[in-house]
Amino acid sequence: MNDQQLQHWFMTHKQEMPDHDFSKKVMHQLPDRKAAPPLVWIFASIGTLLFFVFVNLRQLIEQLSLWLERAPWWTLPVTSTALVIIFLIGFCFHERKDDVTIYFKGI
Amino acid sequence: MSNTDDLKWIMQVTLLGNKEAFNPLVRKYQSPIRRFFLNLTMGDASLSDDLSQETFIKAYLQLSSFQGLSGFSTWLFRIAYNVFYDYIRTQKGKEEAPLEEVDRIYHTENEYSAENADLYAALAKLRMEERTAILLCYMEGMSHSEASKVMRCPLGTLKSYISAGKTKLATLLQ
Repeated sequence: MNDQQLQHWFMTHKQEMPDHDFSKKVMHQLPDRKAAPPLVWIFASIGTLLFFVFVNLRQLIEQLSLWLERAPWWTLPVTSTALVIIFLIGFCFHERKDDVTIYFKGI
Repeated sequence: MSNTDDLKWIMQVTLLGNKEAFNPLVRKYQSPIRRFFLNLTMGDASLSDDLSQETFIKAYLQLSSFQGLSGFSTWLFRIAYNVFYDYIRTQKGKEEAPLEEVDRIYHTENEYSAENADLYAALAKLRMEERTAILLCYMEGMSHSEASKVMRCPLGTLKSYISAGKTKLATLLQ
């Protein structure tokens, strides 16, 4: 029996499974989900807002450099650390919502 | 419904939290998944429906982890394969289930055996890994590469399962 004959033999024995309310039963058992936080839209809105506030890139750079010149020396490390912490908190919160453990073989 | 449609429904579930968007995916894939379990369990429809439900529920809960690197179908079959393997392990307690024992468990007669008796008789001659590989490739039409992703084994190992399975089946069906 060659490959094609074997394929044909399996195709002739292939069962089509009628739904018979199977999908309804599955859907009935599923928990509700929360929508993912629209992080992309939040950051996009902030970016757009900032753009219009500072009118153009040159003005933005001037504003930033001016702000950095006047700010105390610790401003930059503190601000960047705060941003990283905010990002990590947001990321952990996002990942926590579907915290379901499934044990797969070999993982 | 194409793979693009699958992604559309998946994104609706994961991004918008639209639970109902999972329904088209269940309706589309219920037949292959239930058939896969039906053949793995030698026609035990009740058990295969339970395992299929578990598969879809796990898929729904883990949908955020679907990265789209392989097709949704491959990903779903991977979950189904794990559900079946986990079920066998729980049946055997915490001891490692030898494949011969697993085969023996599922060589049972039931009401559905008669409908496809020759298919189940043929599959019963195969070891579990051979049976899974043969079913994925010949019944579900997967490529060797996709089947190896489902079974998470090297391509060469999968080919050896198929080769061994084919040899046994060829002898039996001639």
